[in-house]
Amino acid sequence: MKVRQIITILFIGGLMFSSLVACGKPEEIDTQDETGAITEEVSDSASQTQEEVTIGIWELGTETDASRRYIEEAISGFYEETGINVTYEFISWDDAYNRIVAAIASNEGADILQMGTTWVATMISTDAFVDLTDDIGTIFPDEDAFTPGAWATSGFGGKVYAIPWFSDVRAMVYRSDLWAEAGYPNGPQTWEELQTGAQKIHELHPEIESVIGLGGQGFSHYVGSFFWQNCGDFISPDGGTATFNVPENVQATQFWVDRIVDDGTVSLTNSEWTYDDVIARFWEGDVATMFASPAFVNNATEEQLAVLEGKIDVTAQPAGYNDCQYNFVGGSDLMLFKFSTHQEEAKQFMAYLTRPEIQVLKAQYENDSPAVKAAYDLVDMTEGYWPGFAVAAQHGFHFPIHPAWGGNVESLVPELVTDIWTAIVSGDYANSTVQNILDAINADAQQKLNDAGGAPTNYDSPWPVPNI
Amino acid sequence: MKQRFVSRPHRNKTLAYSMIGPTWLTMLVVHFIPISIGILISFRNLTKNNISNIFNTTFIGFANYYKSLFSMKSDFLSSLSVTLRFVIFTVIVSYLLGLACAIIGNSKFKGQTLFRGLMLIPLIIPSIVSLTCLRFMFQQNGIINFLLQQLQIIKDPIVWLVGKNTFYVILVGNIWIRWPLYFSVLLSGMQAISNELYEAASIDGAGFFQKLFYITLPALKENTFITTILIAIWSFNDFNVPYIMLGGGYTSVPDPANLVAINIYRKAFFSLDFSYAAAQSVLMSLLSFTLILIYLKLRKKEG
Amino acid sequence: MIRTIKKINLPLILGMAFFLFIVLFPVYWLVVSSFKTQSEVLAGTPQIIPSTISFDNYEQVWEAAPLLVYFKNSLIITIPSMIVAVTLATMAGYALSRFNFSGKNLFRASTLLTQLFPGILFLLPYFLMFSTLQHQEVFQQAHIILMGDKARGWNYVLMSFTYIGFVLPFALTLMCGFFNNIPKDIEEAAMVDGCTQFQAFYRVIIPLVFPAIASVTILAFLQCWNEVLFASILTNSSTRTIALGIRDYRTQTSVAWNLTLTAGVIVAIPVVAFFTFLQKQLVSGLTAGAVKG
Repeated sequence: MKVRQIITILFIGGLMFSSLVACGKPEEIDTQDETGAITEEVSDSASQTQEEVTIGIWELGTETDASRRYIEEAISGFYEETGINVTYEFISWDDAYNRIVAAIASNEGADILQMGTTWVATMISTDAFVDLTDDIGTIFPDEDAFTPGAWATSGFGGKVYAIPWFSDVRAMVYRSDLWAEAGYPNGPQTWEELQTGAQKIHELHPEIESVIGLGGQGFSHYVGSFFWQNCGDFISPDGGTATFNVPENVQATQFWVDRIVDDGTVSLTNSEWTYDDVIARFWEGDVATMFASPAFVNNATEEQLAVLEGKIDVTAQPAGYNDCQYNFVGGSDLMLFKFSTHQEEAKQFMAYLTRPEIQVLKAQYENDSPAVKAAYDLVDMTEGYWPGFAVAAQHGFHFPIHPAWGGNVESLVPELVTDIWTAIVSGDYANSTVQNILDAINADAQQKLNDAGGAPTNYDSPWPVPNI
Repeated sequence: MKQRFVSRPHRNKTLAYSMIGPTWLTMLVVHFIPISIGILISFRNLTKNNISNIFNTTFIGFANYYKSLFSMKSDFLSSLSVTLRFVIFTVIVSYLLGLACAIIGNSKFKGQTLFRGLMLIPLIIPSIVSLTCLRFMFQQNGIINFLLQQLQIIKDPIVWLVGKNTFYVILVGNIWIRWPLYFSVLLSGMQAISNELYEAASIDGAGFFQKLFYITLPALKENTFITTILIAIWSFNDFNVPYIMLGGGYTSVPDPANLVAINIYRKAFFSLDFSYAAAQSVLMSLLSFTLILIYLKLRKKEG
Repeated sequence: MIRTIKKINLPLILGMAFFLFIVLFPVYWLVVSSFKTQSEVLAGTPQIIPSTISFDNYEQVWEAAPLLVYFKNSLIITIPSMIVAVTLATMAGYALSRFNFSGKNLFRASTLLTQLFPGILFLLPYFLMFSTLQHQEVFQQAHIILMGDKARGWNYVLMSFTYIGFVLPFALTLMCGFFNNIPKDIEEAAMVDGCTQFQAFYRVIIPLVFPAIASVTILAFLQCWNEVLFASILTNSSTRTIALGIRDYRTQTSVAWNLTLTAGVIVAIPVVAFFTFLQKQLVSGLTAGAVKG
């Protein structure tokens, strides 16, 4: 009887064990329908004599056909040149932060990390990334090689921790036919022109739902763009004071709010629109001007592309009352984990990704704006709307590269937008609304800055200066 | 009364240990050891400065606990107040819904079994799916605003997912996934109540509410009690509801929906202040424990 | 309270309608939205009854993210997890119910206590424990022998093990409660007939607690299918589960709701199917609390 007991226990244990082993059995890797790492490719026996180095890169976002093809092409080109293998892994935006923190804690993960520009500062403060300042100009291109908005995201206090990879440039995308009618064939260059031109279009074309598209839902980069166009910014240059409600910023916000409440050139229906809705309406002909990234062409049907052929132009956003011409630029940079055991090789790959022709490759596959100036000069970038985005890229400005910004102070921007739109839509809007809302938001922002420990050491983020 | 003697098999310790063994081992590795390490961390200063080398921490005693409880505008205390409101509202509303539905479900009508089965749907559908769907419905241009406007309850669409209303969003989400538990437990309790009691009461002239308060509810006390504790603990410790309904991408959960578990997550993963987060976890667990003890004592007193 | 319907009972009907609405409408909306295109799904005025039914989402959802892989991963993690969790919970529940041994009360108490601690407390230590373990030479050798040199196999084991650990405390209590309801006489009778206690256990007792076993199985299934926090850290891109996968249909700034909701439907179907399959057992299990003796 005892034997039977033992056998039963063994049986159950075996059942557990076998189910685990069965599931762990190595399977054929079919690179076509499986995600994950490419294993080491050994092209010929000659290269087996020296030890092959493999480095890894973590990309953020869902793996799509386009992004996979881009990275594989980049990787195989790099391998041919240097013999260094690169494996890649895509991490969803939702889990990215968790995985990164876990990697930092366990000293284990890929070598190179793609990092959204708004979070670079927070990453820097984890002290888990390599200081790349000394490699600028040697392994990596010089500061001038990058577009200004992109370069700003590389770090603060004169130190570089992140190499710009691609930019999410928000240019002014407008209906050149309608603006020509209004007297501005090259689009409005200043706020005055934006205001008068939009009013003209509104008169001539009352059927257009919203002359200017400013979505009221979700993240709204235009808040920043308008601040900077009026030479203001969110946080003081020393990083310790929140400045949402300084006069320049109140004036800037009032400017676009007046377009809603005074002119009607921004229609009330914007309050229900997200960024994608604005683009969809633009393609439907219901919006005449919007601030969008190069990916805006992805949302059009064949028909819409044909109908609006030749009627769309792209250029930098207008300048405000004080001659500052800036527009929002986001995107991602590349950072190097300190725990990487192949730092030199990783830097090589990062530098490789900043080459103009490789930047253009990403633009072609994924419609991401290059972060490198020279890329815009290449042949492929002279077609389509790229020249317009090139101009906008030159006027790029970015959210404060402040450790308390990403996910923290940053979350106040959608709140600000929501508060303003709610006030307008519900009829509570008054002359003091904008000031009051900005005051309240600023108080929250200041609290968050204080909670985060005040101004970071060596922080220095100058405000926009007149540049036209 | 049957006379019971302790028979030999019930003292078979080897069998007992071998049956408990694997479970104990799993609990050790998954719960006991990591929790102990976590508690240890709360007494040291593991932050972003030394996160890459976990052994490079110093002992700082109760500093983190002190900070959680006594600092001005303590994030822990405000998250605690949000959570307590969350738990209380969840329990009350879920209970009322569950009770009302159980009364209905207990009535005889055609399709009764189908109705009972359908009411369990929120428990069966994985909460990641239902919470994601609810989040979608709560969008400013979503169906909830649409319906409210159609019913003339509101004039302009309400913003749910940003600002003060986020608390109600997670409340609705949590109630939606939890209330059927009350329904199911209370219903099964009701079915055990003998019909004769009600008939006797009817003869004595008792109305609906009298039957409810004097027969039904007392009989359901035990069931209610257990379910309430479960739902309260789960809601108190809840992380998924705000995370799925309001988090995502790079956005962190807004303050009005900042439950204790979410706040701890923020402190650990966003501020990288792991020790502080660990201290808050311990405090939170102590609080649950104390509240349960109090609840148990109160129950005992009621006899 | 039992009320026999003799006439149309308005409060009852209203009540039923109300509850049916709040339970079924979100489900309806989920399914209906999965048949709408992206622009329809985001439209300012939603169509309650869709005018067109499109299956596009069901095609795209597999391409826009590797949903099939996530599905497979979830299954690989869930099935062993369910089997082992049920086995362990049943054995342990029985042992707690029937035996007295030193450390019994301590075990019960500490198991219940673990439910009070939030996952985040031990998320990092747990992750670090396993990271360090992975690097030990002994472990790596063992791993290669058992699993072949596949990091993925290890990851699946780790996830299954973790979820078993999560389900056990509650499952254990459930099983123990059930066993307590079954009088010891039954085993004693069986043993008098010549079985060992263990034989009595699996031949006689287990069939009696099928409802509880079904409940624990569903619990384990839901745990694996639903868990987000630990999965986000412990899995890598080739072992990601479906709980994470459903959130993949997004860019940094926008969410493709039509695809997300379609994925939601796909994720929910196995669970609902499994539940319907076990339904008979479960319903009697949930209501068995009232049954005495």
